[in-house]
Amino acid sequence: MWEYIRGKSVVPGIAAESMLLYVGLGFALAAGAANTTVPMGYAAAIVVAMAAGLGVVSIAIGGAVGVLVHDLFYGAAGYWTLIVSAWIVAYAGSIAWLSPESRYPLMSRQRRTARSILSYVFIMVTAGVYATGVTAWLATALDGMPVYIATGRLLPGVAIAVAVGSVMLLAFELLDWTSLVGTDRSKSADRPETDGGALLRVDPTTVTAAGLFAIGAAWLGGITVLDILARDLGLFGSEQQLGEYVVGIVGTDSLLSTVAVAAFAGVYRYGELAVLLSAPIAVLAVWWYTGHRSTWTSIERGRYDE
Amino acid sequence: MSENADGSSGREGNPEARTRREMLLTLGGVTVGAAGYGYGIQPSAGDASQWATHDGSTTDRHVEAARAIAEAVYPTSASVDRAFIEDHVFGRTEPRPGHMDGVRSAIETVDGYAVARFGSRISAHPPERRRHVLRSMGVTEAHPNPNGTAAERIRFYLLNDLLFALLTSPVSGDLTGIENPPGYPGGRGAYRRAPDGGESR
Repeated sequence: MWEYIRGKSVVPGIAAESMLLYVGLGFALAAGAANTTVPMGYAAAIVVAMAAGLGVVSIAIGGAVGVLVHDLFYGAAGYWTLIVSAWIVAYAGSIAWLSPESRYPLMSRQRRTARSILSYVFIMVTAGVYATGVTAWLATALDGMPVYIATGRLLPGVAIAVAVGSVMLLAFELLDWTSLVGTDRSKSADRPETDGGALLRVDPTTVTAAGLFAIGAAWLGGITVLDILARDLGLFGSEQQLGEYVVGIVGTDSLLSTVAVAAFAGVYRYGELAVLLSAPIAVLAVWWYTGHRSTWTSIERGRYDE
Repeated sequence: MSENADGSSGREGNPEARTRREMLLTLGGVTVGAAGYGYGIQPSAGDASQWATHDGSTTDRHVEAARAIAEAVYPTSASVDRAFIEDHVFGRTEPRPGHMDGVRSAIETVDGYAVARFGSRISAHPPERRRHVLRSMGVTEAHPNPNGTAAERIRFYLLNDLLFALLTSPVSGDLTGIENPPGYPGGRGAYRRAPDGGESR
């Protein structure tokens, strides 16, 4: 399960006892959050940060199952259970999907550089945008809460996951550098030096991640704004009332008036439907972009190889 | 924590590795301990059977949860008790068929969420935390909508009904300055009072 994403080995192997341990971790974090009234999104962010920092997606899967078990145990499972679980899995899955294998810190200590750490943090941000978008969409599809509210609830978790994950990476780097963890001196000799100038160079993977970030941010921002607009316009009793209100603002007998009335009427009628249909469109956009990027990247690599 | 191809845990190769039995025992102990701890401090509050009645009517638990939410929603100067909730929220004429089902469903959703994410039923929390529960669910930001998402339905059925009950009863007289809302003429005392608040002669 999830050992391979896009043909890359993500986890060397998920032993049953490890998965059970991660389920216990998720259960404990959910119980701890409930008893201390810490928002569940923060506890979920810790799970994601651990999965990202250690490079083990099964931590996130186990954590999500742990949250599910917790809510079932207390007989209080609801849409909120699926939202949290989906966010954890979507976040960690997105990180794994976006990350080259070499970016996983503990699994490839010898190849970790300052640039790869920065790229990894950027990937965590991008993955957080996608996970938030997917989960906010799911929250509406499950009739839980509107997209704009779900987005507001989930984004702080992204900030926490990125912050904790970054601290973990830096801690590993520091410990690795001082030879307190794993790597011995002979192995560290094989490790490339940290190249400050490399930070200024942009590799194809980072460009791809930047493009994916732009698509994800546009999607998340777009559905959030559209959702707010659609639900606010829904307060009008009828489309005619809305039209009269718009005409009262922009006037009549002008092209702007006609366009504005038609646009707001469209959002009034189909805004929430458009939010729901945005997910497959976003998937198509990502699929199209990654396909073109991989083609471009392979052409570029071929040129470098020559 | 990888596993060797032959299924062994690889203890010989790595002295720090644990056997599967040790891991399972540890995990089992932690799980049983955590579950026992949680079960000891928590009633199974989200149990749907505690809400159920033979005719689907309101239970004491609905009333208690609604009273708790009312305390969180109302201004502190307005005090509410069970009788107020029973009379003004659940006792009023249903505006539309199925409206009370929506109110009860909204209460159950809030209570279930409070159990899952805040550790106990909504009525067991202090008012400030009850407000936190509602904010966390997005109820305070959602528009009321009987056909919308859970947050919007709670806003429509529960919060709006509670506010309606408050503002259409004399309890809110000090807040709104309307001592005699429609349906409450105020009784003999109101007629005996002078415009300046003193007793008329």
